[in-house]
Amino acid sequence: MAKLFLFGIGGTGSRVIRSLTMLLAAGVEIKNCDTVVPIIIDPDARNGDMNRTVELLKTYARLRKSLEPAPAVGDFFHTDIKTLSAIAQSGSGDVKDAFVYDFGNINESFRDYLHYDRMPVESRHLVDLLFTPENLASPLTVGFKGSPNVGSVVLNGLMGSAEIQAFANNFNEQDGDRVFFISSIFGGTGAAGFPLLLKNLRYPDLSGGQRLPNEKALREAPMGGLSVLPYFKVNPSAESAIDSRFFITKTKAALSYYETNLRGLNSLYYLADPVTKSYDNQEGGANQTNGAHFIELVGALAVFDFMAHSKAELQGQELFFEYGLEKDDRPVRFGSLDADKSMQLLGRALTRFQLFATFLTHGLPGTMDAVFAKTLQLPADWKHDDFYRALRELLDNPAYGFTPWLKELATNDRAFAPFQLGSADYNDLVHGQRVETGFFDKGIVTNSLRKSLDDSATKVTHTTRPGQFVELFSKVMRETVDSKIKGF
Amino acid sequence: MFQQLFTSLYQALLGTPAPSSLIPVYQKSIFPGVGLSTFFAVALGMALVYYVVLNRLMTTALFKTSHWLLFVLLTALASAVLAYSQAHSVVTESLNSSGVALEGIEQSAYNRYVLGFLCVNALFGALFFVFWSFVVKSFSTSARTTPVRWPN
Repeated sequence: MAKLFLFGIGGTGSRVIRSLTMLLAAGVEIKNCDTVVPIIIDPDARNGDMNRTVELLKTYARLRKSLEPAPAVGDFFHTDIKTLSAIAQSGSGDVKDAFVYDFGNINESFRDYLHYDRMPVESRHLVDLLFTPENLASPLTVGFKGSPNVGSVVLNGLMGSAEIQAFANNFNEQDGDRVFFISSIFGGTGAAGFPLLLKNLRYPDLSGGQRLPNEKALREAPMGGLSVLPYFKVNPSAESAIDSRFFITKTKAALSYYETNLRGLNSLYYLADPVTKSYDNQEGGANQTNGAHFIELVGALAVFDFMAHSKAELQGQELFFEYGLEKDDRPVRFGSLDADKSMQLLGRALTRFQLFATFLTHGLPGTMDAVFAKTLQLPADWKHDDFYRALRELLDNPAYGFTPWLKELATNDRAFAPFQLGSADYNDLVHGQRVETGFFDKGIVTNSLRKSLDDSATKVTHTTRPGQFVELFSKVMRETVDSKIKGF
Repeated sequence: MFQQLFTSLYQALLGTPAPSSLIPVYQKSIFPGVGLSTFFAVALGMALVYYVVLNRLMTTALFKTSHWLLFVLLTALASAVLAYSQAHSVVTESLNSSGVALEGIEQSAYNRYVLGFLCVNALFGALFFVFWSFVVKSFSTSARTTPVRWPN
């Protein structure tokens, strides 16, 4: 059972994991991996972006629990997502069953965290040299406010934690386990956390800190990272410590640090886009909920790319990747992606899932007494069964659902808008790829989908009812998209 | 066999045909003819149209129980029309060949019996359609569970 330990560091880490989860829900295959184990590292416990990603992950995991044995490769929800404590076989006694690293509610200032007032005067002078008075006074409850120098100190404390010990304990190189880090380079938490975690996980013996179990396995394990360069800015605000005018400067400084100090990575993915979008300036907290962005979706593709490489390919010299759009379009459509790679990876899968979501919204209520619905006992189970409730949450929850995610992507800048959202016309689902219709062929309509579902309902092989539901819909949506929607 | 079967069925609900001069015509020709036509041509035909043509060969939205009930009613109606037209044409032909005409009480007895006959045949048509539904529905794609999932 190969696992991917996915460290999402800071707000960008959470947002990329959100996109990745949507792609996994859509059935995009993550090679060489059965289970993804996300570990979100963000000291800002109330961060809106983080919390909605966590809710999404919890919903996915809940839903996925009903789907054992796993759906087939390419079917919706094929890949499992589990918490660290759920996969742990040993050494996880103190680890909470959560996707987020537990910072234990840091509610003190950075000054108090350092015990500044108890330091010898020489140490205080050194601290004064490295940190501004604002840094020292800053409460850590909302994270590091874009200050990597603060983050690097606080995050160093991670290594002795039960979570990291449990991670190392359960890392099994023989199974093909891998590690991937997702972070931004222009903020505080991600920029500081990524190199720190990499160094401490890869070379715990050299870092002078806490030693880890399985050090040899970790030293040889494939590790990759995504570093996201500035792709948005924030509105100027006198009350906020975050000023996006410094994003580029901070990026340059971090890159120059990475150039000489980032060691031990097998693959590094860089991602950037000319900045056009300004978000509200929130230092952190519940109000920091940036709309989903195309760059985060592309960031998620880095994980798929990393996992698609064989271990042998990754164990030569360090590999570096950047991403280029086939066409510099605004908004981005499927036709803007390169036909051989990105389009193959996500075009059909996202379309299948969107067709599925559209049918469940517009088609299912009128087909509850159809053969497929009766066979799956949907009239009885749809409203109250845990699996279907989780599915509806995953698709439609206004904070973290698939449909709101697509809407956010479509209204951001640069927008990713491949679908005609809100329309019940399946033939017009994909922008620029309208289904051909004729006198005898109405294309994709509720009746044709229902008939295909009816036809396949008795052929499903899964042993559980939710498994049959996923198998049936995956099959019919695949056949419909492949046969009717041209251009993939 | 069919003659005996259908005669027994119709007479169980309608009583002996009236006027009595038409008893042989009903028992030998009308009951078995209408019974067989209703059972095979009308009820089976309608069931095949509903389950195979509309809900397998064609892509329609007529898979619901309400649509099935509509077909029960249509089958009953067709069975009633069949009963009336068959009875009328056979009786007319019989009377013409024997040179006898129905008058007065006989005519009104005939009218009452035919009315009862078409009502009973409508009921039989509906029942036969229900019977054929359970036989034929496994050949359907979209109405395999209409009106109920059993036995599929």
